[in-house]
Amino acid sequence: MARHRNIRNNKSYDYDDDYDVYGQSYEDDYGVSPGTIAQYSYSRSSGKDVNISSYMPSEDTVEEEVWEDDLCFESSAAAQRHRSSGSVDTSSLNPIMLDACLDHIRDAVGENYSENQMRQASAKFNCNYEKAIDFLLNSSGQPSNSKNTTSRLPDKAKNKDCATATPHRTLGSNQRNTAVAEYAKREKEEKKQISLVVIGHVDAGKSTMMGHLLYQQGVVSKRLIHKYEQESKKIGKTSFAYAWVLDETGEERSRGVTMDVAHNRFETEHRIVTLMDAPGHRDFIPNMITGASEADVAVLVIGASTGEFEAGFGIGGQTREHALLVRSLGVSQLAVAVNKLDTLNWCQKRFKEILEKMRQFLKQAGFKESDVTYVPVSGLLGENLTAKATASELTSWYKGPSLIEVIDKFRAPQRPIAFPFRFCVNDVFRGQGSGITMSGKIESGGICHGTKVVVMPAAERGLIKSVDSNDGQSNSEFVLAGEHATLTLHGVDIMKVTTGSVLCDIDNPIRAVTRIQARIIVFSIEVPITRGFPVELHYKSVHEPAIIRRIISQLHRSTGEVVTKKPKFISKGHNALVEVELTRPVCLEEYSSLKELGRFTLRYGGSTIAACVVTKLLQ
Amino acid sequence: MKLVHRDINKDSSGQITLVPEDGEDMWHAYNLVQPGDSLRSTTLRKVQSESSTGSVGSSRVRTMLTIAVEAIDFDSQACALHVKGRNIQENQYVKMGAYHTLDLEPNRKFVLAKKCWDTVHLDRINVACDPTQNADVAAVVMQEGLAHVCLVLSSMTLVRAKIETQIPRKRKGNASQHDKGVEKFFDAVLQAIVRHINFEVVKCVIIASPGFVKDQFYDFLWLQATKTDNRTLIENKSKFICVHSSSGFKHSLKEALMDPSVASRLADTKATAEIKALQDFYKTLQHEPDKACYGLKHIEKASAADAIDVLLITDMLLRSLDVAHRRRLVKIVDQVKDSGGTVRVFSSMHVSGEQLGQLTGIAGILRYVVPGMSDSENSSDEED
Repeated sequence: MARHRNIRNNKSYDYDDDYDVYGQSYEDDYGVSPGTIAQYSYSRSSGKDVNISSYMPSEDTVEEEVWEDDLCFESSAAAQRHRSSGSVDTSSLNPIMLDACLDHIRDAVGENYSENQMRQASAKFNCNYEKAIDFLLNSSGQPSNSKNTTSRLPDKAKNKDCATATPHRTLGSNQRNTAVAEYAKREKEEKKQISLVVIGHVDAGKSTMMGHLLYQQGVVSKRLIHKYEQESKKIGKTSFAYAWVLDETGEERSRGVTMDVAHNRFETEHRIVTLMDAPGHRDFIPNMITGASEADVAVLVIGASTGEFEAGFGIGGQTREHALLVRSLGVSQLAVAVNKLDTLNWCQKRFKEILEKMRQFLKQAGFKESDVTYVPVSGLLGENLTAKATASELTSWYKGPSLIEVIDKFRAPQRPIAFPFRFCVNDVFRGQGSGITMSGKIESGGICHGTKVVVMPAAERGLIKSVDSNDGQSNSEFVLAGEHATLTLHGVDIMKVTTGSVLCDIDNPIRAVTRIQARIIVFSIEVPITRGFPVELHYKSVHEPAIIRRIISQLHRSTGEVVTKKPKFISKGHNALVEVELTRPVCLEEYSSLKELGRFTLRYGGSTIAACVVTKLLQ
Repeated sequence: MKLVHRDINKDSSGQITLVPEDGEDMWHAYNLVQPGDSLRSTTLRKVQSESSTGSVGSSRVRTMLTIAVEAIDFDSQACALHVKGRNIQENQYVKMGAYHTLDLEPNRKFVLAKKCWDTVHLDRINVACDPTQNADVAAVVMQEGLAHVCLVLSSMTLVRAKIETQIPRKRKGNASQHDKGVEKFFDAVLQAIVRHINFEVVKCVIIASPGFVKDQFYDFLWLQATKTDNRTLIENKSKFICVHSSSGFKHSLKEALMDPSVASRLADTKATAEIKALQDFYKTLQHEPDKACYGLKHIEKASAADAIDVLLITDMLLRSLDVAHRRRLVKIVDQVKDSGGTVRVFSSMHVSGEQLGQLTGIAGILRYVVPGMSDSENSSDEED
């Protein structure tokens, strides 16, 4: 139209009235009172806080419920307990107040006074803990032996710590004391727990031997074995009937090969043994490493039939690799089971031949002579497994113990109970009920249900709802270092917890790092290790690709002194100090602080190249 | 890549006209273009136009632009090359000195002018324009719970999909959760294969894994293919090979490619040649450590003594922005070629190229031991 007219700013032109109607919530025409506006329209400047977080439930609400529940539970349980303690009449006192008072007293002077004395004092002063403490300290009554207190502490404190609701007390340290106490008690009273891993070349007879042993021990019923025999006959694998006790997946049964570690449990006269049957196949060594890293002792199975021992012991065989791996993962006690001797009619010459060769090799590998025992067995026939040998050809020259007697004599190692709680997750699945169920081994410390933990490397906090040690057969509430357990966790998303996560003490979580400095011992390898070498790091259940970032120095084989600084490469048989970098963070501890969590192995191209020990966590 | 026109003067400056055809040609172009060159191609430019009534409108105009290259960016997922620079030629729509980002489009020619065309560049153009080098191999490296679906071209390895799931382990008395987890995992891998692999172009599909996962997966694949009646899979059945690898991680791809049953199909593709060269280097390092060296300083010394038999270098080093640095490298390459050695330029997109890159990026196998090499031990140049 006209050039001089300011058309752009003229709004009341050209637009259809229809557009207006849909854009407004009330008619423009008539006025609206402020009261109506306040009632019906949303005003942003209302002054109250309208940030989005106010609409989301706060994190504490879940846990608060827990506390409340337990508090209710606690009062009735407390009343029960105080009633049953008998010696001091505290029925007139409020049980919760009494408990709180006792806690205070215990914190202050607990080690020196027995439960009874503390109760008396509390009763006397009507739960005024300050006066009670004064009384105790000033009284002429002898403080009872601290050992007495600790032995009685677990009974009372055990249940209490789990359910108690006092948030201002550091649960960590107190729980640790109770864990230590519990451990001391169990050491004296119960059988020791050990974890056993069964290793050996493929087809040596590991699964069959262990299956038969479990059957002889009574863990597996006769009916089940019979069923397995029938089924294995159907698919033409009759000799594998015993192995089916441990190989449970369809793949393993149809191929007759163990592919993953199977967990089982049996008891001997002095030990409770958690059994781990490892695969022998080369490709499944990562799974075998997972099992071996959880073990305290090992049984190395050798097939003695003609040619089989040579194949296993040779370069491509697993006898060597398994023995070296298991040694570098911290196992020092070994039982060598020479299997399948019945095919050679229990020939003593063959047994001696194998013994000599293995003795040489194991000594080089680092096993002490006294810690290795050689036992001739037959897994298929069940000879010399749980009972002394019966075959006449064998008893004529063999007078030693049966396999189970050797296992019984294994020493259980000292467990790091006082170290903060660490649980390495081996498997994550949805069990019965809500929450995430995970199985694994407790490496240090102790735990019971109702404890808060941190999942690393996800750095999430959660609550342990239930603790199930050894498939619910044991009835103690506390699970301690060295035991395998199944825990149920609440409050954490299942995506955040994976195989290889570590559950830790909330005050003292483990570090998740991507760069570590480690001392490595190189095995015999074909390709020398250079900077930038891509390797696979195997640690507990973690298998991650990694790169050798830097080779810091080459060390002397035995003394550990620096031989060369910044060598170009490391060849076989040498020790070196290197820096390893990972793509994803892994939770590790330095070897000097906690041995169990400071060892890992490096593999490349299907063979193990180095055994390593963490010297420093870098970042 | 098609070479349309080539115009190089005696002082090695000049311009070349090329037409890229697929993703790999983009990769070659990425290695050719350097800051300081000039690139001319058609492109879309958003132009603001003010009409006679005073209203502003913008439109996208297709125009030929010549820019002085300042920054180059390669998108490996989409295989696209973006070149940023300033306009150096008079143009109807774009002012002189105005910034523009050129996206090289497939099947459209571009003219690249350089001040100095060195031998490495010319070699690359020859390789790119060579029609025989066209081995496309799809590979799936997997293990329980982890799989990588990759496409191996002659100068690039593209990881098309990475599948990672948590499969519950077998437990006493209950192995069903494990089986279910495995089924889900295989399903996801199958989906990735169907989606990302173009069966027309690919010569063969390698399935590599430790243990029996590959056989399990192979059976699962055929079961699903027949169930869902997937024509593409059924027709290409002969292309699938199962080989053994030691793990499901990306670096195990090398082992899968070196397997003899695959090697016969791939013959002399660049990827396998590179892997083999790197293996030879490591073998030499193991058996005759004085005849193998790596690191720029050492290599320079060795090449000055004409001692290098095989030179391994990654194209990432050659792509460096520092002109002087690149000139040093080209000098070494020329020296080696003159003395009768072979030069292998490793593509940094291949797994072997990545490994070489970690090892400083330049390495060599020598003909004879060069004295005075092991003395200069103190400098470990790359500090990271």
